[in-house]
Amino acid sequence: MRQWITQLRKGLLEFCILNVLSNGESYGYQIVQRLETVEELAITESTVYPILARLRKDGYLKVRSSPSPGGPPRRYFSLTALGRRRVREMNEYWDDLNHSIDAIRQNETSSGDNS
Amino acid sequence: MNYSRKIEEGISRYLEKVASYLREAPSDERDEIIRDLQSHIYDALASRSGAEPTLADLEAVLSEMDPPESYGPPVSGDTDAHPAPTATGPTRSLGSWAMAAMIAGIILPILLVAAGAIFGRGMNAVQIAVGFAVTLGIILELLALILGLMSWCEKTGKVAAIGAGVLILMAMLFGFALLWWYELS
Repeated sequence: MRQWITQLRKGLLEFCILNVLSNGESYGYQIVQRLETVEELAITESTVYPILARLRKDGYLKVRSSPSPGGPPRRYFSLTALGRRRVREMNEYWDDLNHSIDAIRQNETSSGDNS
Repeated sequence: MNYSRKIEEGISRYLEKVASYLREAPSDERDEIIRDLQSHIYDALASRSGAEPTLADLEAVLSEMDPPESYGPPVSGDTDAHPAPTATGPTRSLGSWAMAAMIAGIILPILLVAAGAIFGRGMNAVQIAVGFAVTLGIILELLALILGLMSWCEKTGKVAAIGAGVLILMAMLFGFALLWWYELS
C-alpha cells in the first residue's frame, strides 16, 4: 500500500464517521457495516472503535445504552452540538477544497491540451 | 438468543487479547473499545446465524474481524495476556496529580493550624501557623488549578480544576470580607 494513500485514509476516517452519524444515531456494528461499503477507505472495526472512543472523549459524540435482542446492551452514538458544528465545518472545508482542486486539475488539463 | 458457554468463553478470550494490545491506551477509552467490540461480535453472530449460533459461527465471525494485534503493540509481548488493570498514560497521571494537589491544599493547611494550636505557645504561634497554612493552601490550589487545566480532557483533571478554582475564589472572598470587617471595626 502506498504511503500517501494510507495517510489520506487516516485523515478521512474521522470525517466519514462524523458524517455517518450526522444522519442520526447508530451503534458500532451498524457504523462499521456502513463504512465498509466505501471500499476505497478499507475501514475495519479496529480503526473505527478507537476513533469513536476518542471522539466521545473529546465531546463530539454522546452515547446511550439500549438493550439488545441478544448479548450485551448496544451503545448508540450520536453527535453532540460540538460534533454537529465540527461536521458542518469539515463538510464546508471539504467542499471548498474539492472545488479548488477541481479548478487546478481542469486548468492543468486545458493547458496540457493547448501545448 | 442462546449462547453456549464455549461461545462466551471464545468471545472473552478474543476481547482479553485485544485488551492486552490496548494497554497503552487510557483505561476509559480501552473499556469503551472492548464494550463496543463485544457488542459488535454479538451483532455479527446474530446476523450470521440467527437464534442458535455455533462455535463454528463464532470462528467465522472472528476470522473476518481484525486480529488483536491490529489494536497496537503489547507491552509484554504475550498475546495471551490478561487485560491490564489500569492505564498509566501521561494525561491520566497529570489529572491524578491535580486531584492530589487539590486535596492536599485542603488537608495540609488544616493540619498545620491544628499543629500550631496544639504545640505552639500563645496566640502568636497560632497566627504564624494560620499565615503559613493560608500560603501553603493557596500555592497548592493554584498548582491543582494549573495541572487540572492541563489535563482538562480527563475527569479527575476537570474536577480538580473546578474544585481548586472554587476554593481559590472562596479564599479570596473570605480575605476581602476579613479586610472589610477589620476596617469597619
